[in-house]
Amino acid sequence: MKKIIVFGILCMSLSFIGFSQDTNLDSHTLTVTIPEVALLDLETSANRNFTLAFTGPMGTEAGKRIQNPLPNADIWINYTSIVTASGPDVSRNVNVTSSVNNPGGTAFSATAAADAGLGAGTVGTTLGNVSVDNTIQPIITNVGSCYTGNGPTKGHRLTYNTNVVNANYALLRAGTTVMVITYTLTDN
Amino acid sequence: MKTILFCIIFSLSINCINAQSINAIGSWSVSVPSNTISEAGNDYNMNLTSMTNQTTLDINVPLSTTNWRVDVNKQDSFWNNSLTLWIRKTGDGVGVAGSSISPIGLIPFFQLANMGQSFFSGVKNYVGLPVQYEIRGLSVLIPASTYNTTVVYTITEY
Repeated sequence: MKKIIVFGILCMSLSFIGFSQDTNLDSHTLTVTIPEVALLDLETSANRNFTLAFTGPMGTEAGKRIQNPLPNADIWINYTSIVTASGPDVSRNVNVTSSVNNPGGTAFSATAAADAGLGAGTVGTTLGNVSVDNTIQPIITNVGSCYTGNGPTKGHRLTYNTNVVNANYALLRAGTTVMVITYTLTDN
Repeated sequence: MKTILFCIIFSLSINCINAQSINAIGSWSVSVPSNTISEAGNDYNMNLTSMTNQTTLDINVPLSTTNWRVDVNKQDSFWNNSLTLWIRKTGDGVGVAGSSISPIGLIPFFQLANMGQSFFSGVKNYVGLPVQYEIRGLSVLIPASTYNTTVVYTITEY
């Protein structure tokens, strides 16, 4: 009789153990990880490698200065950026630098126009006209999570200017200087 | 001998009067590949879709249960509202004799909400019922981070 009672209790216990394991509700987690993204490129429908050529004095009369080339405004900066919600990577700058300094006696600058508005998000703020040399300096600031659109006419239009500086006219030398202009989207 | 049989039947009957249960097996963790966007200036143009049997559901109901219904909802831990989570049943798993399920087989994706929604209903036990997820609304406008939500399945007798 005692064995039967023990067996019965055992059976009932197993039943209650089974009862306690599952309920009418179950769940699981779902995790999505979105990475940081920092992509930048230059787009143009013209030639991305161009020449700014000073020309000789107008007319045939000696004593005039050389003429400045026309600005080039054929290139656009496109970028896609995902920043973090907090921490040091909450915004980025577009920096510009040249492989070499511009020729003596001249000034060289780049101007990034405001974003064309064909993308979305927190696009950067242009710093306007920036003298470009072989140091790294910002030209667009406060880039957040955004995209500008891809291709020429999207993003920020660049205008390059060069001109002779009268105060440094004595430094002018005949010749050709090749400058490689590099833009980088970097964390602040 | 009769007493032993009584004990077994009694214990089984206790199981039978237990509440219905549901067991979800398999979670989903997904990362957006960092090289998804190859051209600067573009946004994401994609959804994230899980395997067709990312989660399988086991449904166990007492013999006395006539019909049951499974509801589903999500409970956000850290989520971005631009992301929408979609769910669908891609099959029926294996049911015991006399079981049935409605709707049958593959159903279209529907968007999961924080409030419970009816998912499917049926009769008797099923195992290995496959469920698939999809995340939509992916954009570079969503800050880089790891987002978490919990998918909750609830079975109700009716």
